[in-house]
Amino acid sequence: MTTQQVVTRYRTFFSYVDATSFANKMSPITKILILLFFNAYPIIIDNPIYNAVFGFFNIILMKIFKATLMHVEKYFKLLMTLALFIFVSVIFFGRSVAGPNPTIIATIGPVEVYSQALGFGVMVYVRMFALVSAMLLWLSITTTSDLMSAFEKLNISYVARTYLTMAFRFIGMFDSDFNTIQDAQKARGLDINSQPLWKRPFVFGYYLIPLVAITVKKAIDAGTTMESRAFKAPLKIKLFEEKKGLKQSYVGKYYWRYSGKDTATIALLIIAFVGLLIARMYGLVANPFM
Amino acid sequence: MGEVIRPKRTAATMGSILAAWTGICIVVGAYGSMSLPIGGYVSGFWPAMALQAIGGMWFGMWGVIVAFLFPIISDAIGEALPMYVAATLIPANFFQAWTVAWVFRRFKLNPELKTRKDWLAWILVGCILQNAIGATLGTTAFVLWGLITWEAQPLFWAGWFIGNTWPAIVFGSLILKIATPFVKRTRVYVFPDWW
Repeated sequence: MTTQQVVTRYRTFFSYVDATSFANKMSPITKILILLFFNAYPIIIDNPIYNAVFGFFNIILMKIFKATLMHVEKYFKLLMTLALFIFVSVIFFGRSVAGPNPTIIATIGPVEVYSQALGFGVMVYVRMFALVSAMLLWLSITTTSDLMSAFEKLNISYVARTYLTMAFRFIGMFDSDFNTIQDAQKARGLDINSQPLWKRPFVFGYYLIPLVAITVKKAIDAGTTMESRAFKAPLKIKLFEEKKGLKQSYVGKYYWRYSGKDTATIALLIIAFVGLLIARMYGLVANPFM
Repeated sequence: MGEVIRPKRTAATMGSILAAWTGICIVVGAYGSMSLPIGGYVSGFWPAMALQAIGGMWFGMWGVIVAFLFPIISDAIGEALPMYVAATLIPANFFQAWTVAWVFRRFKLNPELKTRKDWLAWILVGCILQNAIGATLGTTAFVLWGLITWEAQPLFWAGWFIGNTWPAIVFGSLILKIATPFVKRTRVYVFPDWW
C-alpha cells in the first residue's frame, strides 16, 4: 500500500495554488501592482522577441508559484488557432497595415503579400500571447480574499469591493459551468470542437442560452444568500469608503500581509517600468520585422 | 386585475446580478474573441455583444455598467488589449448597451420582441446602430493609442462592426425571445425602470 500525501490548495479565480506557494506569501497589493505592470509591458514593447520571452516567463512563473495549469491550458491551446486567423487576415488585408512604402514579398493570385503586414501580424500575435499569459498568471495566483483585502487598503467601499470580487469569482464559476454545458451537449451528440471552424459560431447559441439561465439563477441565489446574512446597502453604489466610516474588516485583518520581499518586488517592478519607458524612448523595443 | 407584483429590488440581488453578468460576459467575451480573431484587437465573432445589449435592456443601468466594465478584463484575455487600452473603450462599450436600452424605454417597446416595431428597433438600433457607434469610437481609440494607423481603421472598423453585429442578431434575438419571459418573472428584471 502506498501512502498518499495530501496537499492543501487554495482556490484562485482561475485555478488552484499550493498552500506552500510563494504566491500565498505575497502581499495582495503586490499582486495588484503585478497586474498593472504586466498589462503595461506588452503595450510598451513592440519587439515580438521580448514579448515572447515575457510570455514564457509568465508560464514559468505559474510553475514556480505552483499554480495548477490544467485549468488554464485550454486558453493556450486556443492561442494556436489564433495564429492561423491573424496570418490569413494580414495576408489578405495586409495593405492597410503595411505602411506607406510596403515591400511585396509574394503574390498569391491578385493578392500581394507585404513583409510589413506579416511583421505586424507577428507583433500582434506575440503581444497577444504575452498579455494572455500575464492575465492567466494573475488570475491563477490571486484569490478572492487577496483582492478583497487589497481593495480595502485602497479605500474602495465595502459594497463596491464585494461586487468587484464577486465578479472575478464568477469568472471561474462560469468557466466551469461552460465546461459542464459543453459536456452535457456532448452527451446529446453536439461537440463544438468536432464542428468545422465556420460552423462553430453558429452552434455557440446552444451553450449561450443555458449559460444565461444559469447566470440569472445563480445571481438571484447569491443575492438571497447575502440578504439572509444581513448584507445591507443602498442601491446607489459609492466607489470609495468615507474616511469617518472606515473600519477594518475580518478579511482585511486576517488576509492582509506585507513583508520586505514585497518591498523588493515593488521596487523591481517600478525600476523595470521606468527602464522600459526609457528603452522605448530610445527605440530599443521597436519591432525589427516591420 | 392584471397587476404585476414584483419583490422589492435590493442592493444584494442587484449587486449579485452586476457581478454575475460581468462574470458571464468575461467568459463569453474571451471564448468568443479567441474563436475568430481578425488581425488581433478586434474579433470577427464577439458573442458577448449580445449579452452587452441585452444586459442594458433587462437590467437597466446595472447592465450598462457591466457593459463597460467587463471588456477591461475580457479584452485582455481574448483580444490582447491591455487594461489601459480597454479602459479607453468605455465610451464605445457604454453606447453599445445604453442606446438600445434607452430606445426600448423611451418608445415603450417590449424586450420579448412581440411586435414588428420591437423587432425593428432591436435590429436597427440594438444590432446595427449601436455597433456602428461603438466601432467608430473603439477603432478611433486604437488609432489614438498608436495600435493601428488611420489607413487601417476602416478594416478594423469593419471587423468590429461585423464581429459584433451578427452575433447580436443571431444570439441576441434568440436569447431575448427565449429567456426574457423567464427573466421577467425574477426581481433582477429592471425594465422599464433604469435602476
